[in-house]
Amino acid sequence: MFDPIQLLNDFPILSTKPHGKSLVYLDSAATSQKPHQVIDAITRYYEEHNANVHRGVHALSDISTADWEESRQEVASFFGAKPSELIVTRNTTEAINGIVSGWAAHAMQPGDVIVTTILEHHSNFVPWQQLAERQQLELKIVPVDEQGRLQMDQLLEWAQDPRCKLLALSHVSNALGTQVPLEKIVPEIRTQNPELKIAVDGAQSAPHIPVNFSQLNIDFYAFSGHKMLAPMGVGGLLVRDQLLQEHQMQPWLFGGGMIDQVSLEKTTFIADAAERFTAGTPDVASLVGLAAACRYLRVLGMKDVAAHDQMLVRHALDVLQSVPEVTLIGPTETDDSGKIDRVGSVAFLYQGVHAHDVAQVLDSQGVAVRSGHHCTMPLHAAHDWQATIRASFHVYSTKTDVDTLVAALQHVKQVFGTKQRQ
Amino acid sequence: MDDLFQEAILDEARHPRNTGQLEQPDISLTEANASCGDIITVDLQFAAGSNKLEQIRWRGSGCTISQAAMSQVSELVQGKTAVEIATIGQSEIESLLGLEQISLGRVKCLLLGITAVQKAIQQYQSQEIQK
Repeated sequence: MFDPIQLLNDFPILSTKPHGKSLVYLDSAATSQKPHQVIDAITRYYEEHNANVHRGVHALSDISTADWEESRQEVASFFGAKPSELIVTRNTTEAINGIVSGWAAHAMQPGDVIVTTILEHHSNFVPWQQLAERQQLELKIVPVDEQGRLQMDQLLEWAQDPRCKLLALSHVSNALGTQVPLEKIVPEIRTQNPELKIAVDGAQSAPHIPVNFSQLNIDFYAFSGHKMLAPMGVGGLLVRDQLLQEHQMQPWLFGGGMIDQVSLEKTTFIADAAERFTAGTPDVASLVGLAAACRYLRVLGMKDVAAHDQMLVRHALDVLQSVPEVTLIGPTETDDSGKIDRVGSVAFLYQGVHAHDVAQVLDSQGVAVRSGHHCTMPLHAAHDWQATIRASFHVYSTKTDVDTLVAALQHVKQVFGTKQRQ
Repeated sequence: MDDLFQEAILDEARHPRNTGQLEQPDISLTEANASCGDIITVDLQFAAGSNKLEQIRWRGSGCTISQAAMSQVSELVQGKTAVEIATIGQSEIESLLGLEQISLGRVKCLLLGITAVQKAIQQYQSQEIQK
Protein backbone atom coordinates (compact mmCIF):
# COMPACT_ATOMS: atom_id res chain seq x y z
CA MET A 1 0.00 0.00 0.00
CA PHE A 2 1.39 3.39 -0.95
CA ASP A 3 1.85 6.18 1.54
CA PRO A 4 0.17 9.40 0.31
CA ILE A 5 2.74 11.49 2.19
CA GLN A 6 5.44 9.93 0.01
CA LEU A 7 3.51 11.00 -3.09
CA LEU A 8 3.34 14.68 -2.18
CA ASN A 9 6.71 15.40 -3.79
CA ASP A 10 5.30 14.14 -7.07
CA PHE A 11 2.72 16.94 -7.12
CA PRO A 12 4.49 20.32 -7.30
CA ILE A 13 1.32 22.35 -6.85
CA LEU A 14 0.64 20.83 -3.43
CA SER A 15 3.60 22.72 -1.98
CA THR A 16 2.18 26.11 -2.99
CA LYS A 17 0.67 28.35 -0.32
CA PRO A 18 -2.46 30.26 -1.32
CA HIS A 19 -3.23 32.94 1.30
CA GLY A 20 0.15 32.07 2.85
CA LYS A 21 -1.19 28.78 4.20
CA SER A 22 -0.34 25.25 3.17
CA LEU A 23 -2.72 24.11 0.45
CA VAL A 24 -5.22 21.44 1.47
CA TYR A 25 -6.69 20.50 -1.88
CA LEU A 26 -10.06 18.79 -1.43
CA ASP A 27 -11.50 19.53 -4.87
CA SER A 28 -10.18 16.59 -6.86
CA ALA A 29 -13.65 15.63 -8.11
CA ALA A 30 -13.63 18.91 -10.05
CA THR A 31 -10.13 18.27 -11.30
CA SER A 32 -7.19 16.33 -9.92
CA GLN A 33 -3.68 17.69 -9.54
CA LYS A 34 -0.95 16.39 -11.87
CA PRO A 35 2.23 14.56 -10.86
CA HIS A 36 5.51 15.65 -12.41
CA GLN A 37 5.62 12.29 -14.22
CA VAL A 38 2.66 13.52 -16.28
CA ILE A 39 3.92 17.08 -16.64
CA ASP A 40 7.37 15.80 -17.69
CA ALA A 41 5.89 13.44 -20.27
CA ILE A 42 4.04 16.31 -21.90
CA THR A 43 7.10 18.57 -21.81
CA ARG A 44 9.27 15.82 -23.28
CA TYR A 45 6.78 15.26 -26.07
CA TYR A 46 6.87 18.92 -27.07
CA GLU A 47 10.63 19.28 -26.59
CA GLU A 48 11.68 16.11 -28.39
CA HIS A 49 8.85 14.42 -30.31
CA ASN A 50 6.41 17.00 -31.62
CA ALA A 51 5.16 16.48 -35.17
CA ASN A 52 1.80 15.73 -36.70
CA VAL A 53 0.77 12.08 -36.62
CA HIS A 54 -0.02 9.83 -39.57
CA ARG A 55 0.98 12.59 -41.98
CA GLY A 56 4.67 12.67 -42.69
CA VAL A 57 7.42 10.32 -43.75
CA HIS A 58 10.02 12.10 -41.67
CA ALA A 59 11.47 10.73 -38.46
CA LEU A 60 9.66 12.99 -36.01
CA SER A 61 6.29 12.16 -37.50
CA ASP A 62 7.05 8.46 -36.98
CA ILE A 63 8.05 9.10 -33.36
CA SER A 64 4.93 11.16 -32.71
CA THR A 65 2.73 8.52 -34.35
CA ALA A 66 4.36 5.86 -32.16
CA ASP A 67 3.68 8.03 -29.09
CA TRP A 68 0.03 8.30 -30.11
CA GLU A 69 -0.41 4.59 -30.75
CA GLU A 70 1.48 3.48 -27.62
CA SER A 71 -0.49 5.93 -25.51
CA ARG A 72 -3.76 4.63 -26.94
CA GLN A 73 -2.71 1.10 -26.00
CA GLU A 74 -1.71 2.15 -22.48
CA VAL A 75 -5.00 3.94 -21.84
CA ALA A 76 -7.19 1.20 -23.31
CA SER A 77 -5.31 -1.45 -21.36
CA PHE A 78 -5.73 0.55 -18.15
CA PHE A 79 -9.50 0.16 -18.58
CA GLY A 80 -9.40 -3.48 -19.72
CA ALA A 81 -10.43 -2.52 -23.25
CA LYS A 82 -8.97 -3.21 -26.70
CA PRO A 83 -7.10 -0.25 -28.23
CA SER A 84 -9.61 -0.31 -31.08
CA GLU A 85 -12.42 0.25 -28.57
CA LEU A 86 -11.01 3.61 -27.44
CA ILE A 87 -12.22 6.83 -29.05
CA VAL A 88 -10.12 9.72 -27.78
CA THR A 89 -12.26 12.72 -26.85
CA ARG A 90 -11.69 16.00 -25.03
CA ASN A 91 -13.54 14.86 -21.90
CA THR A 92 -16.53 12.92 -20.55
CA THR A 93 -18.99 15.50 -21.84
CA GLU A 94 -17.73 15.19 -25.39
CA ALA A 95 -17.74 11.41 -25.07
CA ILE A 96 -21.39 11.32 -23.96
CA ASN A 97 -22.39 13.71 -26.73
CA GLY A 98 -20.53 11.31 -29.02
CA ILE A 99 -22.86 8.49 -27.96
CA VAL A 100 -25.80 10.74 -28.78
CA SER A 101 -24.53 11.77 -32.20
CA GLY A 102 -22.69 8.57 -33.15
CA TRP A 103 -25.25 6.01 -32.01
CA ALA A 104 -28.47 7.17 -30.36
CA ALA A 105 -29.50 9.76 -32.96
CA HIS A 106 -29.90 7.09 -35.64
CA ALA A 107 -30.52 4.00 -33.48
CA MET A 108 -33.47 5.31 -31.48
CA GLN A 109 -36.97 5.77 -32.86
CA PRO A 110 -39.94 7.84 -31.63
CA GLY A 111 -41.56 6.11 -28.67
CA ASP A 112 -38.30 4.45 -27.52
CA VAL A 113 -37.36 4.90 -23.89
CA ILE A 114 -34.14 6.16 -22.30
CA VAL A 115 -33.71 5.39 -18.62
CA THR A 116 -31.37 7.66 -16.68
CA THR A 117 -31.15 8.73 -13.03
CA ILE A 118 -31.52 11.80 -10.89
CA LEU A 119 -27.91 11.35 -9.75
CA GLU A 120 -26.56 12.36 -13.14
CA HIS A 121 -24.20 15.25 -13.80
CA HIS A 122 -25.79 17.61 -16.32
CA SER A 123 -23.43 16.19 -18.93
CA ASN A 124 -25.15 12.79 -18.69
CA PHE A 125 -28.62 14.26 -18.42
CA VAL A 126 -29.02 17.26 -20.71
CA PRO A 127 -27.80 15.44 -23.89
CA TRP A 128 -30.48 12.76 -23.33
CA GLN A 129 -33.14 15.31 -22.47
CA GLN A 130 -32.32 17.19 -25.68
CA LEU A 131 -32.36 14.01 -27.77
CA ALA A 132 -35.67 12.90 -26.23
CA GLU A 133 -37.19 16.26 -27.13
CA ARG A 134 -35.86 16.17 -30.68
CA GLN A 135 -36.83 12.57 -31.45
CA GLN A 136 -39.98 12.11 -29.38
CA LEU A 137 -38.35 9.65 -26.98
CA GLU A 138 -39.49 9.03 -23.44
CA LEU A 139 -36.98 9.91 -20.74
CA LYS A 140 -37.46 8.10 -17.43
CA ILE A 141 -35.52 9.25 -14.39
CA VAL A 142 -34.77 6.82 -11.56
CA PRO A 143 -35.06 8.51 -8.14
CA VAL A 144 -32.83 7.95 -5.11
CA ASP A 145 -33.65 6.90 -1.56
CA GLU A 146 -32.94 9.03 1.51
CA GLN A 147 -29.28 7.89 1.53
CA GLY A 148 -28.74 8.95 -2.07
CA ARG A 149 -28.77 5.41 -3.46
CA LEU A 150 -30.67 4.60 -6.64
CA GLN A 151 -34.06 2.96 -6.25
CA MET A 152 -32.97 -0.24 -7.93
CA ASP A 153 -36.41 -1.86 -8.16
CA GLN A 154 -37.56 1.10 -10.23
CA LEU A 155 -34.45 1.04 -12.40
CA LEU A 156 -34.73 -2.70 -13.08
CA GLU A 157 -38.45 -2.46 -13.82
CA TRP A 158 -37.98 0.31 -16.37
CA ALA A 159 -34.89 -1.28 -17.91
CA GLN A 160 -36.68 -4.53 -18.72
CA ASP A 161 -39.32 -2.72 -20.80
CA PRO A 162 -38.66 -3.76 -24.43
CA ARG A 163 -39.19 -0.13 -25.46
CA CYS A 164 -36.17 0.83 -23.33
CA LYS A 165 -33.21 1.07 -25.71
CA LEU A 166 -30.70 2.84 -23.50
CA LEU A 167 -29.74 2.97 -19.83
CA ALA A 168 -27.48 5.99 -19.23
CA LEU A 169 -26.10 6.26 -15.70
CA SER A 170 -23.11 7.26 -13.63
CA HIS A 171 -20.79 4.68 -12.12
CA VAL A 172 -20.15 7.09 -9.24
CA SER A 173 -22.17 10.23 -8.45
CA ASN A 174 -20.11 13.40 -8.62
CA ALA A 175 -22.36 15.12 -6.08
CA LEU A 176 -22.95 12.42 -3.47
CA GLY A 177 -20.22 9.88 -4.20
CA THR A 178 -22.79 7.08 -4.47
CA GLN A 179 -21.30 4.06 -6.24
CA VAL A 180 -23.78 2.26 -8.47
CA PRO A 181 -23.33 -1.55 -8.22
CA LEU A 182 -22.89 -2.19 -11.95
CA GLU A 183 -21.45 -5.67 -11.35
CA LYS A 184 -24.71 -6.64 -9.71
CA ILE A 185 -27.30 -5.00 -11.94
CA VAL A 186 -25.80 -5.34 -15.44
CA PRO A 187 -26.10 -9.17 -15.62
CA GLU A 188 -29.73 -8.97 -14.50
CA ILE A 189 -30.54 -6.26 -17.05
CA ARG A 190 -28.79 -8.21 -19.82
CA THR A 191 -30.92 -11.26 -19.12
CA GLN A 192 -34.16 -9.29 -19.09
CA ASN A 193 -33.51 -6.95 -22.02
CA PRO A 194 -30.66 -8.20 -24.23
CA GLU A 195 -31.11 -5.44 -26.82
CA LEU A 196 -30.71 -2.62 -24.31
CA LYS A 197 -27.50 -0.56 -24.55
CA ILE A 198 -25.80 0.55 -21.36
CA ALA A 199 -23.83 3.82 -21.29
CA VAL A 200 -21.82 4.59 -18.17
CA ASP A 201 -20.51 8.00 -17.13
CA GLY A 202 -17.19 7.01 -15.60
CA ALA A 203 -15.88 10.50 -14.83
CA GLN A 204 -15.82 9.81 -11.09
CA SER A 205 -15.07 6.09 -11.09
CA ALA A 206 -12.07 6.07 -13.45
CA PRO A 207 -9.88 8.05 -11.01
CA HIS A 208 -10.59 5.94 -7.93
CA ILE A 209 -11.59 2.31 -8.51
CA PRO A 210 -10.47 -0.50 -10.83
CA VAL A 211 -12.56 -0.43 -14.00
CA ASN A 212 -12.57 -3.32 -16.47
CA PHE A 213 -14.65 -2.36 -19.49
CA SER A 214 -14.80 -5.88 -20.84
CA GLN A 215 -15.81 -7.47 -17.51
CA LEU A 216 -18.43 -4.81 -16.80
CA ASN A 217 -20.16 -5.97 -19.98
CA ILE A 218 -21.43 -2.50 -20.85
CA ASP A 219 -21.62 -0.80 -24.26
CA PHE A 220 -20.16 2.64 -23.59
CA TYR A 221 -17.90 4.06 -20.88
CA ALA A 222 -17.00 7.76 -20.86
CA PHE A 223 -14.17 9.29 -18.82
CA SER A 224 -12.08 12.44 -18.40
CA GLY A 225 -8.30 12.46 -18.13
CA HIS A 226 -8.10 15.54 -15.96
CA LYS A 227 -9.88 13.87 -13.06
CA MET A 228 -7.37 11.00 -13.06
CA LEU A 229 -4.08 12.95 -12.81
CA ALA A 230 -3.86 13.71 -16.55
CA PRO A 231 -4.13 17.09 -18.27
CA MET A 232 -7.36 18.88 -19.07
CA GLY A 233 -8.63 18.49 -22.62
CA VAL A 234 -8.25 14.74 -23.06
CA GLY A 235 -10.58 11.90 -22.20
CA GLY A 236 -12.18 8.96 -23.89
CA LEU A 237 -15.16 6.95 -24.92
CA LEU A 238 -14.87 3.18 -24.76
CA VAL A 239 -17.25 1.51 -27.18
CA ARG A 240 -18.00 -2.22 -27.32
CA ASP A 241 -16.09 -3.71 -30.23
CA GLN A 242 -19.19 -5.21 -31.81
CA LEU A 243 -20.88 -1.80 -32.12
CA LEU A 244 -17.85 -0.51 -34.00
CA GLN A 245 -17.39 -3.56 -36.21
CA GLU A 246 -21.06 -3.58 -37.20
CA HIS A 247 -20.98 0.19 -37.78
CA GLN A 248 -23.78 0.70 -35.29
CA MET A 249 -21.50 3.35 -33.78
CA GLN A 250 -20.72 5.87 -36.48
CA PRO A 251 -18.31 8.79 -36.70
CA TRP A 252 -19.82 12.09 -35.62
CA LEU A 253 -16.88 14.34 -36.43
CA PHE A 254 -15.71 14.56 -40.01
CA GLY A 255 -12.49 15.86 -41.49
CA GLY A 256 -8.91 14.90 -42.18
CA GLY A 257 -7.34 11.75 -40.82
CA MET A 258 -10.49 9.61 -40.78
CA ILE A 259 -11.27 9.29 -44.47
CA ASP A 260 -10.58 6.52 -46.94
CA GLN A 261 -11.57 8.13 -50.25
CA VAL A 262 -13.10 11.51 -50.97
CA SER A 263 -14.67 12.35 -54.30
CA LEU A 264 -17.01 15.13 -55.32
CA GLU A 265 -19.94 12.75 -54.88
CA LYS A 266 -19.06 10.61 -51.90
CA THR A 267 -16.72 9.97 -48.99
CA THR A 268 -15.76 6.61 -47.49
CA PHE A 269 -14.15 6.29 -44.10
CA ILE A 270 -11.08 4.47 -42.89
CA ALA A 271 -11.76 0.88 -41.81
CA ASP A 272 -9.67 1.05 -38.64
CA ALA A 273 -12.13 1.82 -35.85
CA ALA A 274 -9.78 4.04 -33.89
CA GLU A 275 -8.78 6.20 -36.85
CA ARG A 276 -12.36 6.43 -38.10
CA PHE A 277 -13.18 8.46 -35.01
CA THR A 278 -10.14 10.73 -35.04
CA ALA A 279 -11.04 13.66 -37.25
CA GLY A 280 -8.45 16.41 -37.47
CA THR A 281 -5.13 16.69 -35.68
CA PRO A 282 -5.45 14.99 -32.28
CA ASP A 283 -4.03 16.31 -29.00
CA VAL A 284 -1.08 13.91 -28.94
CA ALA A 285 0.71 15.56 -26.01
CA SER A 286 -2.34 15.33 -23.78
CA LEU A 287 -2.87 11.68 -24.66
CA VAL A 288 0.81 11.07 -23.84
CA GLY A 289 0.05 12.77 -20.50
CA LEU A 290 -3.01 10.58 -19.97
CA ALA A 291 -0.96 7.46 -20.67
CA ALA A 292 1.62 8.66 -18.12
CA ALA A 293 -1.19 9.14 -15.59
CA CYS A 294 -2.46 5.60 -16.27
CA ARG A 295 1.08 4.27 -15.70
CA TYR A 296 1.33 6.25 -12.47
CA LEU A 297 -1.95 4.84 -11.19
CA ARG A 298 -1.05 1.35 -12.40
CA VAL A 299 2.19 1.44 -10.39
CA LEU A 300 0.24 2.49 -7.28
CA GLY A 301 -2.28 -0.23 -8.06
CA MET A 302 -5.93 0.64 -8.54
CA LYS A 303 -7.00 -1.74 -5.77
CA ASP A 304 -4.82 0.20 -3.36
CA VAL A 305 -6.02 3.51 -4.82
CA ALA A 306 -9.57 2.36 -4.09
CA ALA A 307 -8.67 1.20 -0.58
CA HIS A 308 -7.02 4.56 0.13
CA ASP A 309 -10.13 6.37 -1.08
CA GLN A 310 -12.38 4.15 1.01
CA MET A 311 -10.30 4.93 4.10
CA LEU A 312 -10.57 8.68 3.45
CA VAL A 313 -14.31 8.59 2.81
CA ARG A 314 -14.99 6.68 6.01
CA HIS A 315 -12.69 8.95 8.03
CA ALA A 316 -14.33 12.07 6.59
CA LEU A 317 -17.82 10.77 7.40
CA ASP A 318 -16.68 9.95 10.95
CA VAL A 319 -15.12 13.30 11.74
CA LEU A 320 -17.69 15.45 9.97
CA GLN A 321 -20.44 13.71 11.91
CA SER A 322 -18.91 15.17 15.05
CA VAL A 323 -19.52 18.76 13.87
CA PRO A 324 -22.98 19.75 15.19
CA GLU A 325 -23.69 22.23 12.38
CA VAL A 326 -22.91 19.69 9.64
CA THR A 327 -25.55 17.57 7.94
CA LEU A 328 -24.02 14.88 5.76
CA ILE A 329 -25.80 14.02 2.53
CA GLY A 330 -25.45 10.87 0.45
CA PRO A 331 -24.56 7.38 1.70
CA THR A 332 -23.27 7.31 5.28
CA GLU A 333 -24.07 3.78 6.40
CA THR A 334 -21.46 1.08 5.99
CA ASP A 335 -22.27 -2.56 5.24
CA ASP A 336 -21.60 -5.49 7.57
CA SER A 337 -17.93 -5.59 6.53
CA GLY A 338 -17.52 -1.89 7.34
CA LYS A 339 -17.35 -0.83 3.69
CA ILE A 340 -19.39 1.94 2.13
CA ASP A 341 -20.62 2.28 -1.44
CA ARG A 342 -19.34 5.81 -1.65
CA VAL A 343 -16.34 6.89 -3.71
CA GLY A 344 -14.16 9.97 -3.99
CA SER A 345 -16.06 12.55 -1.98
CA VAL A 346 -18.26 13.53 0.92
CA ALA A 347 -20.91 16.24 0.68
CA PHE A 348 -22.63 18.20 3.39
CA LEU A 349 -24.69 21.19 4.42
CA TYR A 350 -23.67 23.64 7.16
CA GLN A 351 -26.60 24.80 9.22
CA GLY A 352 -27.53 28.41 8.60
CA VAL A 353 -24.63 29.33 6.33
CA HIS A 354 -24.72 29.27 2.53
CA ALA A 355 -22.34 26.78 0.91
CA HIS A 356 -20.44 29.53 -0.92
CA ASP A 357 -19.82 31.37 2.31
CA VAL A 358 -18.58 28.19 3.98
CA ALA A 359 -16.26 27.50 1.03
CA GLN A 360 -14.94 31.07 1.14
CA VAL A 361 -14.05 30.84 4.83
CA LEU A 362 -12.42 27.43 4.27
CA ASP A 363 -10.41 28.93 1.41
CA SER A 364 -9.07 31.60 3.74
CA GLN A 365 -7.66 28.72 5.81
CA GLY A 366 -6.00 27.16 2.75
CA VAL A 367 -8.70 24.48 2.34
CA ALA A 368 -10.05 24.21 -1.21
CA VAL A 369 -13.51 22.60 -1.46
CA ARG A 370 -16.35 22.91 -3.95
CA SER A 371 -19.66 24.62 -3.25
CA GLY A 372 -22.76 24.91 -5.39
CA HIS A 373 -24.97 22.38 -7.16
CA HIS A 374 -22.04 20.52 -8.76
CA CYS A 375 -23.88 20.40 -12.11
CA THR A 376 -26.66 18.31 -10.56
CA MET A 377 -29.54 20.78 -10.41
CA PRO A 378 -32.32 18.15 -10.63
CA LEU A 379 -30.80 16.27 -7.66
CA HIS A 380 -30.49 19.46 -5.63
CA ALA A 381 -34.02 20.61 -6.52
CA ALA A 382 -35.49 17.23 -5.55
CA HIS A 383 -33.97 17.59 -2.08
CA ASP A 384 -34.54 21.34 -1.78
CA TRP A 385 -30.82 21.95 -1.41
CA GLN A 386 -29.90 25.40 -2.68
CA ALA A 387 -26.21 24.55 -2.67
CA THR A 388 -24.01 21.94 -1.01
CA ILE A 389 -20.36 21.64 0.03
CA ARG A 390 -18.23 18.82 -1.33
CA ALA A 391 -14.81 17.69 -0.17
CA SER A 392 -13.20 15.28 -2.61
CA PHE A 393 -10.05 13.23 -2.60
CA HIS A 394 -7.32 11.63 -4.63
CA VAL A 395 -4.20 9.56 -4.05
CA TYR A 396 -2.35 12.53 -2.53
CA SER A 397 -5.11 13.27 -0.01
CA THR A 398 -4.51 12.38 3.63
CA LYS A 399 -6.45 11.96 6.86
CA THR A 400 -4.68 15.12 8.02
CA ASP A 401 -6.25 17.02 5.10
CA VAL A 402 -9.67 15.91 6.29
CA ASP A 403 -8.85 16.87 9.88
CA THR A 404 -7.69 20.30 8.67
CA LEU A 405 -11.05 20.72 6.92
CA VAL A 406 -12.88 19.98 10.17
CA ALA A 407 -10.65 22.39 12.10
CA ALA A 408 -11.26 25.08 9.46
CA LEU A 409 -15.02 24.65 9.90
CA GLN A 410 -14.51 26.17 13.36
CA HIS A 411 -13.67 29.42 11.58
CA VAL A 412 -17.05 29.31 9.85
CA LYS A 413 -18.62 29.20 13.27
CA GLN A 414 -16.46 32.11 14.42
CA VAL A 415 -17.33 34.27 11.41
CA PHE A 416 -21.02 33.53 11.19
CA GLY A 417 -21.91 32.54 14.72
CA THR A 418 -24.50 29.85 15.23
CA LYS A 419 -27.68 31.89 14.91
CA GLN A 420 -27.48 32.71 11.22
CA ARG A 421 -30.57 32.81 9.10
CA GLN A 422 -31.69 29.38 7.89
CA MET B 1 -11.60 37.11 2.76
CA ASP B 2 -11.04 39.37 5.73
CA ASP B 3 -12.98 42.26 4.21
CA LEU B 4 -15.52 39.95 2.57
CA PHE B 5 -17.05 38.83 5.84
CA GLN B 6 -16.63 42.07 7.77
CA GLU B 7 -19.31 42.77 10.34
CA ALA B 8 -21.06 45.40 8.21
CA ILE B 9 -21.67 42.92 5.39
CA LEU B 10 -22.76 40.16 7.74
CA ASP B 11 -25.11 42.57 9.46
CA GLU B 12 -26.54 43.79 6.16
CA ALA B 13 -27.27 40.18 5.18
CA ARG B 14 -28.77 39.39 8.59
CA HIS B 15 -31.00 42.46 8.55
CA PRO B 16 -31.70 43.15 4.89
CA ARG B 17 -33.58 46.32 3.98
CA ASN B 18 -36.63 46.73 1.74
CA THR B 19 -37.58 43.05 1.81
CA GLY B 20 -41.12 41.93 1.12
CA GLN B 21 -43.37 42.53 -1.83
CA LEU B 22 -45.43 45.34 -3.37
CA GLU B 23 -49.18 44.91 -3.67
CA GLN B 24 -49.34 46.26 -7.21
CA PRO B 25 -45.86 46.38 -8.73
CA ASP B 26 -45.40 47.81 -12.21
CA ILE B 27 -43.02 44.95 -12.83
CA SER B 28 -41.82 41.89 -10.95
CA LEU B 29 -38.81 39.84 -12.00
CA THR B 30 -36.90 36.87 -10.64
CA GLU B 31 -33.21 36.42 -11.32
CA ALA B 32 -31.22 33.36 -10.31
CA ASN B 33 -27.55 32.60 -10.20
CA ALA B 34 -27.45 29.23 -11.91
CA SER B 35 -24.01 28.34 -10.63
CA CYS B 36 -24.87 28.55 -6.94
CA GLY B 37 -28.63 28.61 -6.63
CA ASP B 38 -28.95 32.18 -5.29
CA ILE B 39 -32.32 33.63 -6.22
CA ILE B 40 -33.81 37.13 -5.94
CA THR B 41 -37.23 38.50 -6.91
CA VAL B 42 -37.70 42.27 -7.21
CA ASP B 43 -40.96 44.24 -7.33
CA LEU B 44 -40.66 47.74 -8.78
CA GLN B 45 -43.09 50.63 -8.82
CA PHE B 46 -42.47 53.80 -10.81
CA ALA B 47 -43.72 57.32 -10.14
CA ALA B 48 -46.82 58.03 -12.22
CA GLY B 49 -45.93 59.18 -15.71
CA SER B 50 -42.18 59.03 -15.17
CA ASN B 51 -39.35 56.56 -15.25
CA LYS B 52 -38.31 57.35 -11.70
CA LEU B 53 -38.25 54.31 -9.42
CA GLU B 54 -40.55 55.11 -6.53
CA GLN B 55 -40.54 51.89 -4.56
CA ILE B 56 -38.70 48.60 -4.50
CA ARG B 57 -39.27 45.47 -2.49
CA TRP B 58 -37.39 42.23 -2.85
CA ARG B 59 -37.16 38.71 -1.49
CA GLY B 60 -34.75 35.91 -2.03
CA SER B 61 -32.25 33.52 -0.63
CA GLY B 62 -28.60 32.90 -1.18
CA CYS B 63 -25.12 33.61 0.07
CA THR B 64 -24.14 36.53 2.27
CA ILE B 65 -22.75 38.54 -0.63
CA SER B 66 -25.82 38.26 -2.86
CA GLN B 67 -28.18 39.17 -0.01
CA ALA B 68 -26.09 42.03 1.41
CA ALA B 69 -25.50 43.48 -2.04
CA MET B 70 -29.21 43.34 -2.90
CA SER B 71 -30.04 45.07 0.36
CA GLN B 72 -27.60 47.90 -0.45
CA VAL B 73 -28.81 48.10 -4.03
CA SER B 74 -32.43 48.41 -2.88
CA GLU B 75 -31.47 51.56 -0.95
CA LEU B 76 -29.34 52.93 -3.75
CA VAL B 77 -31.89 52.68 -6.56
CA GLN B 78 -34.92 54.19 -4.82
CA GLY B 79 -35.72 57.61 -6.26
CA LYS B 80 -33.31 57.16 -9.18
CA THR B 81 -34.32 57.22 -12.84
CA ALA B 82 -34.07 54.23 -15.14
CA VAL B 83 -31.12 55.86 -16.90
CA GLU B 84 -29.27 56.42 -13.64
CA ILE B 85 -29.90 52.86 -12.51
CA ALA B 86 -28.66 51.48 -15.85
CA THR B 87 -25.20 52.94 -15.18
CA ILE B 88 -24.71 51.19 -11.81
CA GLY B 89 -21.93 48.64 -12.08
CA GLN B 90 -19.64 46.36 -10.12
CA SER B 91 -17.33 48.99 -8.67
CA GLU B 92 -20.17 51.04 -7.22
CA ILE B 93 -21.62 48.02 -5.42
CA GLU B 94 -18.16 46.99 -4.19
CA SER B 95 -17.79 50.47 -2.70
CA LEU B 96 -21.19 50.25 -1.04
CA LEU B 97 -20.11 47.04 0.67
CA GLY B 98 -16.69 48.41 1.54
CA LEU B 99 -14.89 45.96 -0.70
CA GLU B 100 -11.84 46.85 -2.76
CA GLN B 101 -12.24 44.14 -5.36
CA ILE B 102 -14.32 41.01 -5.04
CA SER B 103 -12.85 37.68 -6.21
CA LEU B 104 -13.86 36.48 -9.66
CA GLY B 105 -15.81 33.59 -8.19
CA ARG B 106 -18.12 35.94 -6.30
CA VAL B 107 -18.82 38.57 -8.98
CA LYS B 108 -22.10 36.91 -9.98
CA CYS B 109 -23.22 36.88 -6.33
CA LEU B 110 -22.41 40.58 -6.02
CA LEU B 111 -24.24 41.53 -9.21
CA LEU B 112 -27.32 39.31 -8.87
CA GLY B 113 -29.47 42.03 -7.28
CA ILE B 114 -28.58 44.90 -9.58
CA THR B 115 -28.95 42.58 -12.58
CA ALA B 116 -32.48 41.74 -11.44
CA VAL B 117 -33.35 45.43 -11.06
CA GLN B 118 -31.84 46.42 -14.42
CA LYS B 119 -33.53 43.55 -16.26
CA ALA B 120 -36.86 44.38 -14.61
CA ILE B 121 -36.58 48.00 -15.76
CA GLN B 122 -35.76 46.91 -19.32
CA GLN B 123 -38.75 44.61 -19.32
CA TYR B 124 -40.99 47.36 -17.91
CA GLN B 125 -39.83 49.81 -20.58
CA SER B 126 -40.50 47.26 -23.35
CA GLN B 127 -44.00 46.73 -22.00
CA GLU B 128 -44.63 50.49 -21.85
CA ILE B 129 -43.52 50.93 -25.46
CA GLN B 130 -45.87 48.17 -26.57
CA LYS B 131 -48.85 49.79 -24.80
